[in-house]
Amino acid sequence: MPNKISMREILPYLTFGLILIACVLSVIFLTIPWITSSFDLKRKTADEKSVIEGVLKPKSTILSEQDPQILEEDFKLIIMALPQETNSLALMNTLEKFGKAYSVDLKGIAFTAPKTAGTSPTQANSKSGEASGKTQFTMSTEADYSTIIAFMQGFENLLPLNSLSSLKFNKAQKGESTINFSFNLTFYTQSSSSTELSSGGTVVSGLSEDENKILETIQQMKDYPLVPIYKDPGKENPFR
Amino acid sequence: MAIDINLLPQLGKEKEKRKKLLVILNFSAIGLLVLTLLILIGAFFYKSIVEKGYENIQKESATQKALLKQYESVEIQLSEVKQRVGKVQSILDSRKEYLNLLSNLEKITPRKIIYNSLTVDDDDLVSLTGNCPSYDELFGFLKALSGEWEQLGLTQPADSEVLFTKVELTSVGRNESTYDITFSVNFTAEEGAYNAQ
Repeated sequence: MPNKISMREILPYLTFGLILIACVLSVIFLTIPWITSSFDLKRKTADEKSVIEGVLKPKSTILSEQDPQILEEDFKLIIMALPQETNSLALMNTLEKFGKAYSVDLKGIAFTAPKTAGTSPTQANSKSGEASGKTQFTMSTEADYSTIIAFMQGFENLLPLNSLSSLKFNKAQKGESTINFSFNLTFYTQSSSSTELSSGGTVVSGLSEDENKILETIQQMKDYPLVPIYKDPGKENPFR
Repeated sequence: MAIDINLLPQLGKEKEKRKKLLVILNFSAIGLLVLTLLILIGAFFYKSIVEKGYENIQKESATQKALLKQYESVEIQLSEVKQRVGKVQSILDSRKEYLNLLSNLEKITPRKIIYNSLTVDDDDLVSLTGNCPSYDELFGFLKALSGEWEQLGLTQPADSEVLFTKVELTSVGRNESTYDITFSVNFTAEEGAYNAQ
């Protein structure tokens, strides 16, 4: 006669089996996902912490240390040295005033349309998104040698920033001491590139000693007001 | 010989054995349950702690970002100034110091040599025309331009740089009315020629 196993006998084993299955399932479906997500969150926390400690906090410290008034002045100064866009007429105006200041009569000022980027020596340092440009003038003048030297020195200290090239000195026919001096003059521009700033990512630093030295150098340069004269408007007959 | 067919003691032993097994099974089940619960509670607390930490760091990050937002205009100006300063520096570095070039030329030009024209092109090629009373001055001037001081009976300063190279006399003649020597010479201005000597 076969042994009949009663339900009473099997129940403890069944309970044990069910408990075992429940335990295994809870480990698989609860504990492992919890631990995985916890590790994931821990990694994210560490990343975020490093961003806060390495970027955000130093950045806010640096920015809070800046004197807005001085920065505003530096900003105006650097824009004066390197304008955002070419204003050829304003530059011509500057050149005229500059020439007068050195008692030099600038003749035959020819203007070449601004070039964006291209072969400018400054292009090497430009970052993506920035547009650097240059505007070239060709001109000549007649003066004695010492005036020309003083005039050239003046260009070195003139704002907006410029550079001379293709110099030609020719002894003028009319007098021994008069020299005809022709040259190319290049003015530089740099369009603004920092319109989009992330409040996180980038690490900033205050102005370094070298950068401050450059600002001091520019500060010693001379600018001529780029505001044209406009007075007495209201003509009755524009043909007379 | 009589055979003991009483199975009751044997059955009792088996019952006892099964009872023990059931006790072990029960304890194991309870143990397993407790262990699993402990693991679950541990994992839950760990998760909660990590989540709380993440929440806190996110709050801190938001606070820092809000703080930075206040300095946004300062940041824009600072980065603009820094970028432009870099650009200005590169322009100033690339700018040729023509005044130094002229000064260096003046220093080595004998008083009797007179320039008629001087051209400096973008490739640093200098073309010079002039006149002088004799070939002597011209010869000396060319040697000085080439930096051949020994041939002029002079010693070259130890720290002096090479200023001009590829000195080439392209034409020479005599002005029939003034009897002056007229000449034209081409040479290359090296980097040192643009430095103050």
